[in-house]
Amino acid sequence: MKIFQFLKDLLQLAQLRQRNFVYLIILIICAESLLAPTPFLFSWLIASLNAGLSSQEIIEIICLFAAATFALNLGHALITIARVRLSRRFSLDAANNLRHQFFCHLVRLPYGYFLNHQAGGQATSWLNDIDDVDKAIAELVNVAITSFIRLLIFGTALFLWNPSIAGLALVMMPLTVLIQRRLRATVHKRSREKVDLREALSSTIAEAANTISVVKSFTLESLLHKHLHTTSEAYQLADVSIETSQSALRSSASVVLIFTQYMFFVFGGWLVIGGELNVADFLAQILLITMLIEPLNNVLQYYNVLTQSHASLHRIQETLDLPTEDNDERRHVKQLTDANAGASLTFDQVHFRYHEDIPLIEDLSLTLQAGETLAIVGPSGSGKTTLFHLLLGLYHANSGTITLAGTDISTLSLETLRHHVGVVFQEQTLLNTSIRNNLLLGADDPESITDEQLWHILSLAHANDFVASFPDALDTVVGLNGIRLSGGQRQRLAIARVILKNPDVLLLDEATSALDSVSELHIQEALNDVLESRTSIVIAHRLSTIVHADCIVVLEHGRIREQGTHTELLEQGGVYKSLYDAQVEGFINWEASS
Amino acid sequence: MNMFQFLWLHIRQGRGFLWQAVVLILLMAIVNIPLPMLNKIGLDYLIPAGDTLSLITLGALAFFMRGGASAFQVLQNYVVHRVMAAMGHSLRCSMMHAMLHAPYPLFVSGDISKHIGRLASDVEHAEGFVFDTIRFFIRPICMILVISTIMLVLDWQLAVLALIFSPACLLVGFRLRFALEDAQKEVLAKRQALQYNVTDIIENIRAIRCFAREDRYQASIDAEVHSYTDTSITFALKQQTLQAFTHIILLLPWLLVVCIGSYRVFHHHMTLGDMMAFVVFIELLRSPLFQFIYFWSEMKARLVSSKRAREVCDLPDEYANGDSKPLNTGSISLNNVCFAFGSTPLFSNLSLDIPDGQRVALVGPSGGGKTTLSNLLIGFVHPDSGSIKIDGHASAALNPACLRQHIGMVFQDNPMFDGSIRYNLLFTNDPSQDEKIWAALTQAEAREFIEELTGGLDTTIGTRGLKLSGGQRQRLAIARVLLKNPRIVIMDEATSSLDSLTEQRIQQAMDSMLAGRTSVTIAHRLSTIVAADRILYLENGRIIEDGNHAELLKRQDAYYRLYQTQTDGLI
Ligand SMILES: Nc1ncnc2c1ncn2[C@@H]1O[C@H](COP(=O)(O)OP(=O)(O)OP(=O)(O)O)[C@@H](O)[C@H]1O
Ligand SMILES: Nc1ncnc2c1ncn2[C@@H]1O[C@H](COP(=O)(O)OP(=O)(O)OP(=O)(O)O)[C@@H](O)[C@H]1O
Ligand SMILES: [Mg+2]
Ligand SMILES: [Mg+2]
Repeated sequence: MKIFQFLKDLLQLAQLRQRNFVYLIILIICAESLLAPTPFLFSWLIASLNAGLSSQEIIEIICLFAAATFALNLGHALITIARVRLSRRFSLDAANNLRHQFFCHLVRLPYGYFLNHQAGGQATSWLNDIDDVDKAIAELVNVAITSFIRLLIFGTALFLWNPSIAGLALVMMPLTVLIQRRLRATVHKRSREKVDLREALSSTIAEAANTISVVKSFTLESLLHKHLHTTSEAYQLADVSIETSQSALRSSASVVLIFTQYMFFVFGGWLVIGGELNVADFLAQILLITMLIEPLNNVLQYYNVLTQSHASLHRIQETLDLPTEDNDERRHVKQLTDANAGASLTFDQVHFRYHEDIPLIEDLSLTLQAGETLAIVGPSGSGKTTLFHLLLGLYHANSGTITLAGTDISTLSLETLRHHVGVVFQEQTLLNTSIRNNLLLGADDPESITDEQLWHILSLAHANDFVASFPDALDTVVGLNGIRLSGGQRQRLAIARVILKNPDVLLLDEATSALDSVSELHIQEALNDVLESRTSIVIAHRLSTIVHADCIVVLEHGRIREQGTHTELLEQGGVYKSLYDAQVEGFINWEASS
Repeated sequence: MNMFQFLWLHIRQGRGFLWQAVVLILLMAIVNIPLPMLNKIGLDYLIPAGDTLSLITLGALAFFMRGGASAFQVLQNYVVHRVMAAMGHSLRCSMMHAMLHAPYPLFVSGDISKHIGRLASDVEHAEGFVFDTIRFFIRPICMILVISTIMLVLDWQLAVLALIFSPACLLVGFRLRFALEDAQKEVLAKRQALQYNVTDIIENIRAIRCFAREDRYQASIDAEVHSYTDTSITFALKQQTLQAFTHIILLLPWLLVVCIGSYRVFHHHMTLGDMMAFVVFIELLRSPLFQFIYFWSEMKARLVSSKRAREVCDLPDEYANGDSKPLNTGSISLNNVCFAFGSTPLFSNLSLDIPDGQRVALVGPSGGGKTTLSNLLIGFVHPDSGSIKIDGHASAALNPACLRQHIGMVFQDNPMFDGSIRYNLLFTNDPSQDEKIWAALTQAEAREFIEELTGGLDTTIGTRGLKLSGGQRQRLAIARVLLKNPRIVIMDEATSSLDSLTEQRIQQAMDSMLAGRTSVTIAHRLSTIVAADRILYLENGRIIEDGNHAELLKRQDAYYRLYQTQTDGLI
């Protein structure tokens, strides 16, 4: 670790305004200089004891000494207090900068990133990492610079007072640093290990809480506990190793300090015996040396803080270095060119793969006029949801173009794109907050939405009855992943949310699969009214959901197999027909048998 | 069991090191104490006598004593941390054990998540409990006793003054310290709120992103960060003020000793060496005094954490009670079951008999209680009154583990672990049972798509399995239950995300698998269930229709309407 480089990085993070920093330094210098006279006063006091003064005069001197020392220390305390606001603001600004920057970056990372990392579980450890950096910056001013300036002032004082003794102290210091090199490397490595293990512990158990129904129904508790037990054991060992190395670090530093102290005692005593130093100065210089120990210790301790925060900042930096999803130069269009004409959609020879070697969407072309409804059916895994991912810019086509109202979506800014496109996904995610806040996700201007409007929207989504039946109505908190609602209730809230958004293009991915057909019918009627002029794409396996679509596309292995209306497709007698048969077979059989 | 017994239970885990640790701590406390006396000897005798050689010997002696103590300190820390780590490990494991074995409703209410968020800090705090008592309470007391004795011997008058004065300052220190506590609590609360919020947002990133609401959530986080900042600054200000004042207050005994000491030196009531020894003693006293202040203020936090840790350990263990009986048949019977979420009743006096081997389908409007009914069967939640019998045994008296081994369930939302496909099927990464897995995957129509994956069964499926398509996840969930091979199978919308062709094939495969087993199938797509032996229509917690497809259609009521809307336009 290059310490000065790192310090520079920290200061850069702090984005310090130079003037403030200068003020800070001046305040610190003022405060610390106030402490420096104490040993001199002490020496003066001791010297006057043997100067043959009267008892009255000694009392005066003692009182003066007490008053002066007290006043100086008080001055120091007051300036320090005055300084704190400035310096804490300074470090918090830096940390907040980092928090802001990091979070900004995080929410804009490509969607795939969140699938590959236990992102939710990691949020905690990221925040901890930033706290470490916060601490490093806060202590940089409060401890490191302050102690350093104190060392400088006291060191200079000592040096001027008795150069030969001061030389001793200077020789010892580099030794301290040398001894510590090796140990620090261990601490560094183990600290990282420990943090990772702690993260593993909490994310394993957090995941268990998220999948609790599986954990309980398969009685996996003991199995998971065994995992956790092993991790905890490793964590425990890392902890012992870190603490021991750290205490070795402290001890090695203090041995050197003690050595300096007693060298000084012997050497100074020798000077006194030789008559080159008087007792009063000798004692005062011992006092001065003791006063050096604390700031020196602080500086050494700060090194520990730096090591830790270096590891943390490194982890944060790794994430910050990942490109965000909207860093594409081409995405400069902020406005659809002919939005008035309604949102037509075309796919032109689109190719897409998640993995290079597994083909998915192959050469897909499709046109959808503004206001039309397209239904997509097809076997599971054929790429239906993937088309939505592409349309929403969560993933990008490998080749080919998708245009929205005549504009290539790869040139649209993602915000604009998503402003025009609304979606209900196959699995709804609800925030663990009130129903109201979950709905307001769909509102451009949440403040302007009244409760009446919300209830109206809820009634369109056929959700007003159940929301009204909750004691807290709109303020009901839905629980983690909406666990306190039934599957169909979650879906209806997701639909309500998208109705509130009122997008030009509506994408529904099995949006009503968890609803009974009667409720589904109601919702469909409501949607038809609200979204009359909307372009929409509907994915559904239950064919009754889609029979009335303007056009039905059968997708298989990422290619369009068949295309047409319900009747046309039935006449063709292809895949759609067999899907249809499979679905109505039961009924037909029954009708035949009765 | 009181708090101390509880903690002792965990400390015992490190008992091999415990006594060594205690002895070392106390030893270390006393070793440093005679040192100021060496200073005194040097000042009062050696320097005036001009005895350089003895001075050097004295210096070396002092150095070795303190240096040795310092080195010893490493050993002490090692031992202490061994004990603390052993205790922490034991405590952490019991807490995690308790959390995992807690009843399902506690997870739904979010109680467990709250504990998870605090697990790390609670254990850390509780770990410190005992050693803080030794290090910051017993040890300081020893030190204070020894130092005061020496001071009293050196010069009892000054000693008495200094000793009276120090505790007085200490008291002031106390008061100031307590003023900090609330401010600190507020900072911690703000910090935790921030953490919850960020986690929730990340978990829902797809929705937020698709609504292009990043900025809004960014703003809400920023707002939270700012209020966190404000409380932090208030706290820092208070803390620094406190520190500055403590510093001043602790300066007072020093000033007292120097001033009165020099007056007494002037009158030859004491030697310069005595005074210097006093100065050092006062310094030495400072750290135990500080530790006292620290001890009292920390102790509260530690007690709170330990209490919380204990609360977690005391969470009810749902597997602790009930008999483990071998269950044979799959008959289910509900007798006057009542159940309510809070004050909202869902089921009142629900009775139902499902004979062994029957294939039952459950339909009805969303929110009617289908999922809740299956949760009752598998023992996730318990009826408020009435009884549920599985294979003739009252399920309340059965051990849940035994019940759950008997019943397999496919859930509506298919929770998946962020691990390999194999792990999600058999919960192990050991490939020795792959053949069995492939057989189950074939039955669940999932073989084909997994074979296409380059990683095969080792492919990881991402957070919550989101790298798979909805239908693929469902098929894994079905395969998982097939592998479990239970007597009773409950499928909650297990095939809702599958096209009818795939569904039909799975059903054919399942027909043989389900033969002779009891099954409860919940579905909205009626083609999934027409073939069931018996269809129950559940609405608002009541079974309003009961019969097979033909019978229900004849009634021309609720089920018939469902059927009408679903086939309208199809047939
Ligand atoms: N994020 C991802 N990373 C890698 N592969 C993925 C990802 N999402 C989907 N896949 C794979 O791409 C294929 C198509 O998935 P997609 O979700 O588009 O299917 P689908 O047609 O919506 O199916 P279903 O009807 O089951 O929802 C599947 O084989 C799936 O495993
Ligand atoms: N943990 C809970 N706390 C409070 N209420 C709950 C909880 N779980 C479910 N409910 C309520 O109980 C009722 C029945 O829910 P349940 O999940 O059993 O419905 P369901 O029949 O499975 O519906 P769906 O077909 O939509 O899945 C709903 O009104 C739901 O809001
Ligand atoms: Mg899909
Ligand atoms: Mg349900």
